[in-house]
Amino acid sequence: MLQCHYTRARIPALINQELPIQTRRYVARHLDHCSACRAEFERQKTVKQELMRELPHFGKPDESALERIWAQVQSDLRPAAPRHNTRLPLKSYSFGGIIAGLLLVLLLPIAGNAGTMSVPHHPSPQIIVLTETPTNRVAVAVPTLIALVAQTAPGETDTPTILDNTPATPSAAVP
Amino acid sequence: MADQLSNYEEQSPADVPALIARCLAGDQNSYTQLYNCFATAMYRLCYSLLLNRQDAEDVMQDVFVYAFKNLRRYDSQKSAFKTWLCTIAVSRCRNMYRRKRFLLVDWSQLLHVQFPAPHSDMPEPALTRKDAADVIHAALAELSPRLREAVVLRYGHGLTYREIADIMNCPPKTAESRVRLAHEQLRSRLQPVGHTLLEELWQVQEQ
Repeated sequence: MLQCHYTRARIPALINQELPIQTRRYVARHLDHCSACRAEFERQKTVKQELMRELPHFGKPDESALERIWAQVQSDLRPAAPRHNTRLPLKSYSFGGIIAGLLLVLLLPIAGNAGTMSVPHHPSPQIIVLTETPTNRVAVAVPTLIALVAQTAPGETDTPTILDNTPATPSAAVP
Repeated sequence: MADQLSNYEEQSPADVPALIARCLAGDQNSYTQLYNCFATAMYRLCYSLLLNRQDAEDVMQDVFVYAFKNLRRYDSQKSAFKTWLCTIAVSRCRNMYRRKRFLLVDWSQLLHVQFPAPHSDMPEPALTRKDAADVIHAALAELSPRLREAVVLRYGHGLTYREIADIMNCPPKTAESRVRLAHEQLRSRLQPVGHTLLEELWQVQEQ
Protein backbone atom coordinates (compact mmCIF):
# COMPACT_ATOMS: atom_id res chain seq x y z
CA MET A 1 0.00 0.00 0.00
CA LEU A 2 2.87 2.32 0.87
CA GLN A 3 4.50 1.39 -2.44
CA CYS A 4 1.26 2.19 -4.28
CA HIS A 5 1.06 5.62 -2.64
CA TYR A 6 4.71 6.34 -3.49
CA THR A 7 4.28 5.16 -7.08
CA ARG A 8 1.06 7.07 -7.79
CA ALA A 9 2.62 10.32 -6.61
CA ARG A 10 5.34 9.84 -9.20
CA ILE A 11 3.29 8.68 -12.17
CA PRO A 12 3.03 12.14 -13.84
CA ALA A 13 6.77 12.61 -13.50
CA LEU A 14 7.36 9.16 -14.93
CA ILE A 15 5.13 9.94 -17.90
CA ASN A 16 6.96 13.21 -18.51
CA GLN A 17 10.31 11.41 -18.15
CA GLU A 18 11.35 13.59 -15.27
CA LEU A 19 12.35 10.94 -12.73
CA PRO A 20 15.94 10.07 -11.91
CA ILE A 21 17.00 6.67 -13.21
CA GLN A 22 16.88 4.86 -9.86
CA THR A 23 13.38 6.09 -8.98
CA ARG A 24 12.22 5.28 -12.49
CA ARG A 25 13.42 1.70 -12.11
CA TYR A 26 11.72 1.36 -8.74
CA VAL A 27 8.40 2.73 -10.02
CA ALA A 28 8.54 0.67 -13.20
CA ARG A 29 9.19 -2.49 -11.18
CA HIS A 30 6.13 -1.75 -9.04
CA LEU A 31 3.99 -1.08 -12.09
CA ASP A 32 4.92 -4.50 -13.45
CA HIS A 33 3.42 -6.19 -10.40
CA CYS A 34 0.53 -3.91 -9.35
CA SER A 35 -2.37 -3.95 -11.77
CA ALA A 36 -4.19 -1.04 -10.06
CA CYS A 37 -1.19 1.26 -10.35
CA ARG A 38 -0.65 0.06 -13.89
CA ALA A 39 -4.21 1.05 -14.79
CA GLU A 40 -3.70 4.46 -13.17
CA PHE A 41 -0.48 4.88 -15.15
CA GLU A 42 -2.30 4.09 -18.40
CA ARG A 43 -5.09 6.56 -17.59
CA GLN A 44 -2.68 9.38 -16.84
CA LYS A 45 -0.69 8.60 -19.95
CA THR A 46 -3.87 8.94 -22.00
CA VAL A 47 -4.71 12.24 -20.29
CA LYS A 48 -1.30 13.59 -21.18
CA GLN A 49 -1.74 12.52 -24.80
CA GLU A 50 -5.15 14.20 -24.84
CA LEU A 51 -3.77 17.41 -23.41
CA MET A 52 -0.86 17.48 -25.83
CA ARG A 53 -3.20 16.87 -28.72
CA GLU A 54 -6.00 19.20 -27.67
CA LEU A 55 -4.38 22.15 -25.90
CA PRO A 56 -2.40 23.42 -28.93
CA HIS A 57 -5.74 23.78 -30.76
CA PHE A 58 -7.65 25.20 -27.80
CA GLY A 59 -8.75 28.81 -28.24
CA LYS A 60 -7.51 29.29 -31.79
CA PRO A 61 -8.68 32.68 -33.00
CA ASP A 62 -10.31 33.49 -36.32
CA GLU A 63 -8.56 35.88 -38.68
CA SER A 64 -11.10 38.65 -38.19
CA ALA A 65 -10.29 38.79 -34.48
CA LEU A 66 -6.57 39.01 -35.19
CA GLU A 67 -7.10 41.72 -37.79
CA ARG A 68 -9.26 43.69 -35.36
CA ILE A 69 -6.59 43.43 -32.65
CA TRP A 70 -3.86 44.45 -35.09
CA ALA A 71 -5.81 47.53 -36.10
CA GLN A 72 -6.16 48.49 -32.45
CA VAL A 73 -2.48 47.87 -31.81
CA GLN A 74 -1.59 50.10 -34.75
CA SER A 75 -3.87 52.89 -33.56
CA ASP A 76 -2.33 52.66 -30.08
CA LEU A 77 1.18 52.80 -31.50
CA ARG A 78 0.47 55.76 -33.78
CA PRO A 79 1.94 58.91 -32.26
CA ALA A 80 -0.77 61.14 -30.94
CA ALA A 81 -1.33 64.33 -32.95
CA PRO A 82 -0.57 67.53 -31.06
CA ARG A 83 -3.73 68.90 -29.53
CA HIS A 84 -4.74 72.45 -30.30
CA ASN A 85 -6.37 74.23 -27.44
CA THR A 86 -9.52 75.64 -28.97
CA ARG A 87 -11.06 76.71 -25.71
CA LEU A 88 -10.97 80.30 -24.65
CA PRO A 89 -8.45 80.97 -21.93
CA LEU A 90 -11.16 82.65 -19.90
CA LYS A 91 -13.14 79.45 -19.86
CA SER A 92 -10.18 77.40 -18.73
CA TYR A 93 -9.37 79.94 -16.05
CA SER A 94 -12.97 79.96 -14.85
CA PHE A 95 -12.91 76.15 -14.68
CA GLY A 96 -9.70 76.25 -12.73
CA GLY A 97 -11.17 78.86 -10.43
CA ILE A 98 -14.17 76.69 -9.73
CA ILE A 99 -11.90 73.74 -8.90
CA ALA A 100 -9.71 75.93 -6.67
CA GLY A 101 -12.80 77.29 -4.90
CA LEU A 102 -14.15 73.81 -4.29
CA LEU A 103 -10.79 72.67 -2.96
CA LEU A 104 -10.66 75.68 -0.67
CA VAL A 105 -14.15 74.99 0.65
CA LEU A 106 -13.26 71.35 1.23
CA LEU A 107 -9.87 72.00 2.80
CA LEU A 108 -10.72 74.98 5.00
CA PRO A 109 -12.56 73.01 7.69
CA ILE A 110 -9.71 70.52 7.80
CA ALA A 111 -7.16 73.32 8.08
CA GLY A 112 -9.27 75.01 10.77
CA ASN A 113 -9.48 71.82 12.77
CA ALA A 114 -5.75 71.28 12.42
CA GLY A 115 -5.13 74.84 13.76
CA THR A 116 -7.26 74.41 16.80
CA MET A 117 -5.82 71.08 17.50
CA SER A 118 -2.28 72.45 17.52
CA VAL A 119 -3.04 74.99 20.29
CA PRO A 120 -1.95 73.56 23.64
CA HIS A 121 -4.61 73.19 26.25
CA HIS A 122 -4.65 75.26 29.35
CA PRO A 123 -3.26 73.47 32.35
CA SER A 124 -5.91 72.17 34.58
CA PRO A 125 -6.38 74.19 37.76
CA GLN A 126 -4.50 72.81 40.70
CA ILE A 127 -6.34 72.25 43.87
CA ILE A 128 -4.56 73.81 46.77
CA VAL A 129 -5.02 71.93 49.92
CA LEU A 130 -4.56 73.93 53.01
CA THR A 131 -2.64 71.96 55.51
CA GLU A 132 -2.53 74.67 58.14
CA THR A 133 -5.38 76.35 59.83
CA PRO A 134 -5.77 79.94 58.64
CA THR A 135 -4.29 82.44 60.98
CA ASN A 136 -4.76 86.20 61.22
CA ARG A 137 -1.16 86.71 60.07
CA VAL A 138 -2.21 88.40 56.81
CA ALA A 139 -4.83 90.42 58.51
CA VAL A 140 -2.24 91.66 60.92
CA ALA A 141 0.38 92.33 58.22
CA VAL A 142 -1.84 94.38 55.96
CA PRO A 143 -2.50 97.22 58.35
CA THR A 144 1.18 97.31 59.12
CA LEU A 145 2.07 97.72 55.43
CA ILE A 146 -0.62 100.33 54.95
CA ALA A 147 0.74 102.16 57.88
CA LEU A 148 4.26 101.98 56.41
CA VAL A 149 3.13 103.30 53.02
CA ALA A 150 1.04 106.01 54.54
CA GLN A 151 3.85 107.04 56.74
CA THR A 152 5.77 109.85 55.11
CA ALA A 153 9.24 111.00 55.77
CA PRO A 154 9.50 113.92 58.13
CA GLY A 155 9.38 117.28 56.33
CA GLU A 156 7.63 115.87 53.26
CA THR A 157 4.12 116.62 52.34
CA ASP A 158 1.75 114.30 50.55
CA THR A 159 0.90 116.83 47.89
CA PRO A 160 3.75 119.13 46.93
CA THR A 161 2.46 122.44 45.65
CA ILE A 162 5.50 123.22 43.55
CA LEU A 163 7.45 120.67 41.59
CA ASP A 164 11.16 120.58 42.10
CA ASN A 165 12.03 121.56 38.52
CA THR A 166 9.48 124.38 38.34
CA PRO A 167 11.11 127.80 38.31
CA ALA A 168 10.01 130.25 40.92
CA THR A 169 7.26 132.56 39.93
CA PRO A 170 8.27 136.25 39.44
CA SER A 171 5.49 137.44 41.75
CA ALA A 172 6.97 135.39 44.57
CA ALA A 173 10.52 136.72 43.87
CA VAL A 174 9.53 140.38 43.74
CA PRO A 175 7.99 141.66 46.95
CA MET B 1 -3.38 45.25 -44.97
CA ALA B 2 -5.48 42.15 -45.56
CA ASP B 3 -2.88 40.61 -47.85
CA GLN B 4 -0.22 41.15 -45.23
CA LEU B 5 -2.33 39.47 -42.58
CA SER B 6 -3.48 36.52 -44.65
CA ASN B 7 -1.19 34.05 -42.94
CA TYR B 8 -1.55 33.75 -39.20
CA GLU B 9 -0.12 30.28 -38.89
CA GLU B 10 2.04 29.95 -35.85
CA GLN B 11 5.63 30.19 -36.86
CA SER B 12 8.80 31.10 -35.17
CA PRO B 13 11.13 32.24 -37.89
CA ALA B 14 14.80 31.76 -37.38
CA ASP B 15 15.45 35.39 -38.25
CA VAL B 16 13.43 36.92 -35.43
CA PRO B 17 16.47 38.95 -34.31
CA ALA B 18 16.77 40.34 -37.85
CA LEU B 19 13.06 41.18 -37.86
CA ILE B 20 13.42 42.96 -34.54
CA ALA B 21 16.43 44.87 -35.84
CA ARG B 22 14.39 46.02 -38.86
CA CYS B 23 11.55 47.04 -36.55
CA LEU B 24 13.94 49.11 -34.48
CA ALA B 25 15.20 50.70 -37.68
CA GLY B 26 11.64 51.86 -38.34
CA ASP B 27 10.40 49.33 -40.89
CA GLN B 28 6.62 49.12 -40.47
CA ASN B 29 6.27 45.87 -42.46
CA SER B 30 8.56 44.13 -40.01
CA TYR B 31 6.17 44.99 -37.19
CA THR B 32 3.39 43.35 -39.18
CA GLN B 33 5.49 40.26 -39.81
CA LEU B 34 6.43 40.02 -36.16
CA TYR B 35 2.77 40.27 -35.19
CA ASN B 36 1.81 37.62 -37.73
CA CYS B 37 4.39 35.22 -36.33
CA PHE B 38 3.22 35.36 -32.74
CA ALA B 39 -0.40 36.55 -32.81
CA THR B 40 -2.03 33.13 -32.83
CA ALA B 41 0.19 31.75 -30.09
CA MET B 42 -0.38 34.77 -27.89
CA TYR B 43 -4.11 34.67 -28.45
CA ARG B 44 -4.24 30.98 -27.56
CA LEU B 45 -2.24 31.66 -24.42
CA CYS B 46 -4.42 34.58 -23.33
CA TYR B 47 -7.63 32.71 -24.07
CA SER B 48 -6.46 29.54 -22.30
CA LEU B 49 -5.65 31.55 -19.19
CA LEU B 50 -8.65 33.87 -19.17
CA LEU B 51 -11.23 31.59 -20.82
CA ASN B 52 -13.01 34.62 -22.27
CA ARG B 53 -12.71 35.94 -25.84
CA GLN B 54 -13.15 39.63 -25.07
CA ASP B 55 -10.67 39.59 -22.20
CA ALA B 56 -8.19 37.66 -24.35
CA GLU B 57 -8.46 40.29 -27.12
CA ASP B 58 -7.96 43.16 -24.66
CA VAL B 59 -4.95 41.56 -23.03
CA MET B 60 -3.41 40.57 -26.33
CA GLN B 61 -3.70 44.10 -27.66
CA ASP B 62 -2.05 45.36 -24.50
CA VAL B 63 0.73 42.77 -24.82
CA PHE B 64 1.66 43.75 -28.37
CA VAL B 65 1.44 47.47 -27.71
CA TYR B 66 3.73 47.09 -24.71
CA ALA B 67 6.12 44.77 -26.55
CA PHE B 68 6.45 47.04 -29.59
CA LYS B 69 6.88 50.15 -27.47
CA ASN B 70 9.57 48.44 -25.37
CA LEU B 71 11.24 46.49 -28.14
CA ARG B 72 14.60 48.05 -27.32
CA ARG B 73 14.45 46.50 -23.87
CA TYR B 74 14.25 42.95 -25.25
CA ASP B 75 17.53 41.09 -24.78
CA SER B 76 17.91 38.11 -27.11
CA GLN B 77 20.74 36.79 -24.94
CA LYS B 78 18.40 36.32 -21.98
CA SER B 79 15.41 34.60 -23.59
CA ALA B 80 13.65 33.81 -26.82
CA PHE B 81 11.27 36.44 -28.15
CA LYS B 82 8.29 34.13 -27.63
CA THR B 83 9.28 33.61 -23.99
CA TRP B 84 9.50 37.37 -23.54
CA LEU B 85 6.05 37.83 -25.06
CA CYS B 86 4.66 35.03 -22.88
CA THR B 87 6.09 36.73 -19.79
CA ILE B 88 4.29 39.95 -20.67
CA ALA B 89 1.08 38.07 -21.47
CA VAL B 90 1.06 36.07 -18.23
CA SER B 91 1.70 39.23 -16.24
CA ARG B 92 -1.16 41.04 -17.98
CA CYS B 93 -3.47 38.04 -17.50
CA ARG B 94 -2.68 38.06 -13.78
CA ASN B 95 -3.67 41.71 -13.64
CA MET B 96 -6.91 40.77 -15.33
CA TYR B 97 -7.61 37.98 -12.78
CA ARG B 98 -7.12 40.49 -9.98
CA ARG B 99 -9.44 42.99 -11.62
CA LYS B 100 -12.12 40.38 -12.22
CA ARG B 101 -11.73 38.43 -9.00
CA PHE B 102 -14.75 40.12 -7.47
CA LEU B 103 -16.89 39.41 -10.53
CA LEU B 104 -15.79 35.78 -10.73
CA VAL B 105 -17.05 34.96 -7.24
CA ASP B 106 -19.92 32.51 -7.39
CA TRP B 107 -22.46 34.50 -5.39
CA SER B 108 -25.08 31.77 -5.64
CA GLN B 109 -22.78 29.43 -3.69
CA LEU B 110 -21.93 32.08 -1.14
CA LEU B 111 -25.57 32.98 -0.58
CA HIS B 112 -26.71 29.33 -0.74
CA VAL B 113 -29.12 30.14 -3.52
CA GLN B 114 -29.79 27.51 -6.12
CA PHE B 115 -30.71 28.84 -9.52
CA PRO B 116 -32.68 26.47 -11.73
CA ALA B 117 -30.71 24.80 -14.48
CA PRO B 118 -31.49 25.98 -18.03
CA HIS B 119 -34.32 23.93 -19.35
CA SER B 120 -33.93 22.19 -22.66
CA ASP B 121 -37.03 21.17 -24.58
CA MET B 122 -35.33 18.50 -26.59
CA PRO B 123 -32.96 16.09 -24.90
CA GLU B 124 -29.81 16.17 -26.92
CA PRO B 125 -27.13 13.57 -26.94
CA ALA B 126 -23.95 14.44 -25.09
CA LEU B 127 -21.85 14.56 -28.21
CA THR B 128 -23.92 17.29 -29.83
CA ARG B 129 -24.14 19.37 -26.64
CA LYS B 130 -20.49 19.42 -25.86
CA ASP B 131 -17.36 19.12 -27.86
CA ALA B 132 -13.76 18.65 -27.00
CA ALA B 133 -13.12 22.36 -26.54
CA ASP B 134 -15.93 22.59 -24.00
CA VAL B 135 -14.47 19.72 -22.02
CA ILE B 136 -11.02 21.31 -21.99
CA HIS B 137 -12.58 24.68 -21.15
CA ALA B 138 -14.43 23.22 -18.16
CA ALA B 139 -11.35 21.31 -17.02
CA LEU B 140 -9.10 24.39 -17.22
CA ALA B 141 -11.68 26.50 -15.42
CA GLU B 142 -11.45 24.13 -12.45
CA LEU B 143 -7.74 24.72 -12.06
CA SER B 144 -6.25 27.51 -10.02
CA PRO B 145 -4.64 30.28 -12.13
CA ARG B 146 -1.08 29.18 -11.32
CA LEU B 147 -1.72 25.53 -12.24
CA ARG B 148 -3.54 26.63 -15.38
CA GLU B 149 -0.60 28.78 -16.44
CA ALA B 150 1.80 25.90 -15.88
CA VAL B 151 -0.16 23.28 -17.77
CA VAL B 152 -1.02 25.59 -20.67
CA LEU B 153 2.60 26.66 -21.12
CA ARG B 154 3.81 23.05 -20.86
CA TYR B 155 1.28 21.18 -22.98
CA GLY B 156 -0.24 23.99 -25.00
CA HIS B 157 2.99 25.72 -26.00
CA GLY B 158 5.59 23.02 -25.44
CA LEU B 159 7.88 25.17 -23.30
CA THR B 160 10.55 23.70 -21.08
CA TYR B 161 10.38 23.91 -17.31
CA ARG B 162 13.17 26.47 -17.30
CA GLU B 163 11.21 28.69 -19.71
CA ILE B 164 8.03 28.19 -17.68
CA ALA B 165 9.95 29.11 -14.53
CA ASP B 166 11.24 32.29 -16.18
CA ILE B 167 7.74 33.25 -17.31
CA MET B 168 6.05 32.44 -14.00
CA ASN B 169 8.90 33.91 -11.97
CA CYS B 170 9.45 30.82 -9.87
CA PRO B 171 12.14 28.11 -9.55
CA PRO B 172 12.11 25.36 -12.22
CA LYS B 173 11.24 22.74 -9.60
CA THR B 174 8.16 24.72 -8.64
CA ALA B 175 7.13 24.92 -12.29
CA GLU B 176 7.59 21.16 -12.56
CA SER B 177 5.50 20.44 -9.48
CA ARG B 178 2.77 22.81 -10.71
CA VAL B 179 2.55 20.95 -14.01
CA ARG B 180 2.38 17.68 -12.12
CA LEU B 181 -0.38 18.92 -9.80
CA ALA B 182 -2.34 20.30 -12.74
CA HIS B 183 -1.92 17.00 -14.54
CA GLU B 184 -3.33 15.08 -11.58
CA GLN B 185 -6.25 17.45 -11.16
CA LEU B 186 -7.06 17.37 -14.85
CA ARG B 187 -6.92 13.60 -14.80
CA SER B 188 -9.54 13.45 -12.06
CA ARG B 189 -11.61 16.08 -13.89
CA LEU B 190 -11.39 14.53 -17.34
CA GLN B 191 -11.61 10.91 -16.33
CA PRO B 192 -15.27 10.49 -15.30
CA VAL B 193 -16.83 12.16 -18.32
CA GLY B 194 -14.36 13.95 -20.47
CA HIS B 195 -11.95 11.20 -21.20
CA THR B 196 -14.44 8.92 -22.85
CA LEU B 197 -16.14 11.90 -24.45
CA LEU B 198 -12.92 13.10 -26.03
CA GLU B 199 -12.11 9.66 -27.33
CA GLU B 200 -15.52 9.35 -28.89
CA LEU B 201 -15.18 12.78 -30.44
CA TRP B 202 -11.85 11.99 -32.00
CA GLN B 203 -13.17 8.72 -33.35
CA VAL B 204 -16.03 10.66 -34.96
CA GLN B 205 -13.62 13.22 -36.40
CA GLU B 206 -11.31 10.55 -37.80
CA GLN B 207 -14.15 8.78 -39.60
